Amino acid sequence: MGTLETLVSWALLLVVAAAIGLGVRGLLGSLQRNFAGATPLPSIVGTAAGIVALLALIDGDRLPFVVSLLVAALVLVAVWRVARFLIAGRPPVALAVAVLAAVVVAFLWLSAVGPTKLVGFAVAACVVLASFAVTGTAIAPEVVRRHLPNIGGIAATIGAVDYLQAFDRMSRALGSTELNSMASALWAVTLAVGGSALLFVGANRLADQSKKDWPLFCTLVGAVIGFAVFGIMDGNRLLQIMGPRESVATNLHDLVNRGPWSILITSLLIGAAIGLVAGTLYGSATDNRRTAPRIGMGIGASIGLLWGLFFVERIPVDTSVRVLWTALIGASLCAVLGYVIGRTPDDQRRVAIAAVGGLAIGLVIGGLLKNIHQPRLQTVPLIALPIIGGVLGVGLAALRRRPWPPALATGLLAGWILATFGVPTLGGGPEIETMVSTGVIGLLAGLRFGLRRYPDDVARANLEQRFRGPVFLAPALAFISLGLVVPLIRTFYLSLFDDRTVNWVGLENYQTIFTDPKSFEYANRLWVFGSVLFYIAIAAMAAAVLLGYIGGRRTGNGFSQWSLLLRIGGVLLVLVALLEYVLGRQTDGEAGGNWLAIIALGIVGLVMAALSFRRAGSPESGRGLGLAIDFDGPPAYLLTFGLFMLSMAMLSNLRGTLFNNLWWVITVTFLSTVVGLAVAVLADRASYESVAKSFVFMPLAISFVGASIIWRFMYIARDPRKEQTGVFNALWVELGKISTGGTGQTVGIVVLLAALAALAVLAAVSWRTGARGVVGTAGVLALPVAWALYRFTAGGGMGGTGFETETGSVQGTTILFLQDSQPFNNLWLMVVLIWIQTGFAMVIFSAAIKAVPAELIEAARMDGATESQVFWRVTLPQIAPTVGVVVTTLIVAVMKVFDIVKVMTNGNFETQVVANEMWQRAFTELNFGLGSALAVVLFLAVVPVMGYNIRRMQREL
Amino acid sequence: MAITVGSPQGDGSLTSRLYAFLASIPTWVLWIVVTIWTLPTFSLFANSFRSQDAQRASGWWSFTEDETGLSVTNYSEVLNATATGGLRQGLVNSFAITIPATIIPIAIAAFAAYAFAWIDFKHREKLFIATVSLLAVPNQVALIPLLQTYSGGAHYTIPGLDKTITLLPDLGLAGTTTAVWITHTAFAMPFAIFLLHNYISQLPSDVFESARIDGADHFTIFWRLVLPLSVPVLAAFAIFQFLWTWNDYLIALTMIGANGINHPATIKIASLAGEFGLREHVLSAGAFVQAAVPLVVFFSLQRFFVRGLLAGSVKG
Repeated sequence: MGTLETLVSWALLLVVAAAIGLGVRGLLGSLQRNFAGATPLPSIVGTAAGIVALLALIDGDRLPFVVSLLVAALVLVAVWRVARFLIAGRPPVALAVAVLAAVVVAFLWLSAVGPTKLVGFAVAACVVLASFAVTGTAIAPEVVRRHLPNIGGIAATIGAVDYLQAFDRMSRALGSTELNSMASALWAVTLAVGGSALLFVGANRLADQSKKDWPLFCTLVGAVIGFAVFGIMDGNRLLQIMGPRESVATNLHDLVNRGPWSILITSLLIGAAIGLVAGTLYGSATDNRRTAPRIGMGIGASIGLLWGLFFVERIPVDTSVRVLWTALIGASLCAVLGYVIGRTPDDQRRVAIAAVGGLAIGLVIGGLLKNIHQPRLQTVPLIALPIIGGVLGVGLAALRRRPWPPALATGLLAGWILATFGVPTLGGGPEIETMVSTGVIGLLAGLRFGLRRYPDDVARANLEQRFRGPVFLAPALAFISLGLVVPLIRTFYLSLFDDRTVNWVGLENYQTIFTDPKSFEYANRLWVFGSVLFYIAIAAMAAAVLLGYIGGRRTGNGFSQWSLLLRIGGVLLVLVALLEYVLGRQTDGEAGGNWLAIIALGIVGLVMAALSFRRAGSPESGRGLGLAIDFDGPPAYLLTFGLFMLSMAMLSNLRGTLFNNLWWVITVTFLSTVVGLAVAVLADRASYESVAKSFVFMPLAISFVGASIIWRFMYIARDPRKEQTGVFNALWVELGKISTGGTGQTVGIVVLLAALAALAVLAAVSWRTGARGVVGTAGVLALPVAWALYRFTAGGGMGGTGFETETGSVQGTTILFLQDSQPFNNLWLMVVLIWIQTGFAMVIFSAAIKAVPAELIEAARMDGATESQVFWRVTLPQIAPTVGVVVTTLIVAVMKVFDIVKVMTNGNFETQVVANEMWQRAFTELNFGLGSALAVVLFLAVVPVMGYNIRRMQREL
Repeated sequence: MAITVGSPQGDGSLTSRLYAFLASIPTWVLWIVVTIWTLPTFSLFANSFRSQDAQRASGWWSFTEDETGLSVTNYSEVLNATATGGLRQGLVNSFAITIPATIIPIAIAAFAAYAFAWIDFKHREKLFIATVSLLAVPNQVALIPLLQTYSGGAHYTIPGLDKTITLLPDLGLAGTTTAVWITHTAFAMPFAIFLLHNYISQLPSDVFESARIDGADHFTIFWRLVLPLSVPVLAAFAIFQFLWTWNDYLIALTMIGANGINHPATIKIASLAGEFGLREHVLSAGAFVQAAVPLVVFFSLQRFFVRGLLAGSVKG
């Protein structure tokens, strides 16, 4: 099929769909406009003819059907005219005639069209309902008005279903997978949105009824309960229903395309329509116009379903249709019972009716129960258990000061269920015993419902109020519990099983994780003392303490949490000593590690902990220890930096997946936060602020996969003899060339000297004005510059210095960023995530900075604070809570990093992280036990963050 | 800012000129950072228009000197060639996942957020906190059970009775885009409720009270008042969810598995990247096509996006 034909068919389809929608609308509108008595018939017929004509355009298959439809419409008009002429002024009779005609027409169509032409049924239903509507205007206008939207809605839905079906068929016929997947997406959305909207609106309308119309409310509740009970029982193959049951595996898509559904829906509709008419007739005769039509509709729908089953029986049926069918029968039965209960205010009569009705339903279930589920009753439990249950129920009721009869019924019911289906062996029991068992269950359950007090207006209003919350919450909670909570629990459960989730293995999976050197390797922990990072960390922390001490001497403020710090530090040291002992025993056998160190650590820890319990003389116990270290301001940040470097030093020596993940979390969180904050501060009040922020923010919109690809191009390394195409290696190689000879070297030396000089001037000037922070910053910046200068002059060059080729030109060596220098190649992966997440941190910090009250900053400036002091002492403390939010959000986001590692290295070269490990174990090796255990580890790692979030929310609510 | 210092009175001396220079450093630094942050994306963009030979011969920065010139050949190749794994099909699949995964959570979460904010019921706050605390739960914990449910339904074997109850029938969802958006809907719920609740709970209560006095029930209030008033936050969440689902890789990869016909664009370009050099020259075009949709959304609706981000973090 060519493009033109495709376009034309699409256009036609759209026209048809629009026409159907408009037709339905026009139908309804004309009915409502002509409400007062003018005959709406011409417009109905006109609309129907329009629909028919348009339908004929879809495909030739439907031509016979179209013709029969036209004929039927003419018949209807004729009958209507004749009836009106003959029996003018006697509407009920006219109505009966019209309905009869409509039913005949519907049958005509059924036979002409066959059972799978959904539109035929829809239009048949429409016409039946329309005829009702026309005649009904004469008798019960308000009923028409009330039900017209429902009727229109149902008919339009069926029309839409058929439209989509045609769409689907067409895309299949075209053989285009793209069209097809768009069609199924449309399908899914329509089904999901339509279905959930119907459920939601329906539930809300149900809640309305509890206040407005109690019998209807009871009817609907009964229907829902019956639907659920029968549906669940039949879905689990507990019930036998007439006819063969074919079990056809099916998916959602096929489900709706199958014929049986259309039959069931249509017969339901037609039955409902006839019932409605009959009910209206009855209602107008007995002056019960409110509820009688509805009851009639319910009964009619049930009959219609039975009728539909007659057809369903004849064609192959899949399980889901049968389940629905059974569920609808159950719904009808229970709905009738609910209605009667709702209509009976008299207590004794209601209890009696409920009990008898329950018994009847119970007997139905008993009769349908499959042989293999029929119990062989045992006398002793049959007597003992209900008595125990009843006594328990009454006892509980007495304790809770509630009336005893309902509790007795509940207790008896529980005992009876246990005695009939819990204790005895199931299968092969006598029919009569089964009937008794289920009958009594029904009786007691009915009794329990009947014993509810008949509600007055206040109670009904309360019920409506209580009902509403769950109705609004139910969809969300269903998704959360089915999609998150239950799977979470199940993952815990699965983690205790082997790879096929068959055999219970206890904690073995966790043991595997924590003993596998690939995921948890601590043998090199002592290497940390040989790491440069470690000494940088120590230097930073020492500087922090020194600065803090100087500050403390000057301001007189002191850190006051010493006892807490001592206690925590002491306990940590003791723990480290113990751990060292255990690890030592594992690696050295009996020796248990370095005894001297272990004992020393333990003693120091204990002394520290003991010291912390010393009663402090003053509230500022820091003074009591003779230490007035003021950690406020820069020292705190220096300390943070020191701790960060310390963790870097430790995590580059503690290897394995778990430590790697921790490394990711610390590095990415820390650097994204710091860089994000820096950019936010720099951009604040800069010109073109929003443009700058947009560009830093942009990576957040790019997928992790896309970002990984982008950065792979940045990291590319090629044969050193060729030109480099990756930015980093090009720079690196070029730097290597420059720093080892030629004019580049001279220029570099001059530039570096100039930079050093500038820094020196800056430091000197700042020292005079008293800006110590600037002096410090200049000093720190001078260190790398000096190092670069050393490399340029005497250190043999920097960057990709390498070898000389035969021709004598200098060539640089490249870096394989993702493979070389393990474990630091991890950092290059982390760069990708930092690149993405910095924008997030920046946006949030930027908003927080703008929210700092201007008066605070003005006041600080008035007091003579420098800009940097304003930042460190005013702005930063003000946005401290935001730092908490950003850090927790980032921790959670980084903890589950997956895409970047998967795409860039797939965990090779010592870059594995927990999420990727979990994915590989679970979905490539299909080891669900180990995969679940890894997922649980991931979950446990974020539990502290969850706790922090919960506490924060509790404060705010 | 850290190295900005209070400037002394300027008198044209060397010191004050040095200070003027130093004071401008932060702006410089800012634009250097911006350049660094933009460079990777730009390099991908520039490379995507270069021919295969040009990409092999030199870095993207020499794109102005290419002999072969710039063209959209890579784009037409990656979009049209079926051998590249059908990126066009991937884009369609991405939409098939993204549209329902954006619309449906909005509706459902709006109901729940309204209930948490304005309907009184028992344990409301506890339930809300429990719901929102699930925000931090990593999606990985739910993947295995969900996949099992999609591919075989949910069944419960009663201990001791040796009887299995079917809680959910097998709907044959494994490997379909439906499974992916259902999963996205569930995973988005805590954040959506949190975000919408932050906004809906701040709506002025007197509006609701007067409506209640006029006899409106919760459903009417929700439909006629809350939804129209919450359009900004609904838009913010929609953008979020759209970007998140469009860019998702993990959930699609898990739920669709090897069923290549249903793979979204992210998986298509990831597998293109996994071919190691085979079609490296179209990879940048492919990656850019995949990124183009979210970038357009991002740049055109940035205000809403930022607002949502802030509502979700700072206020909360």
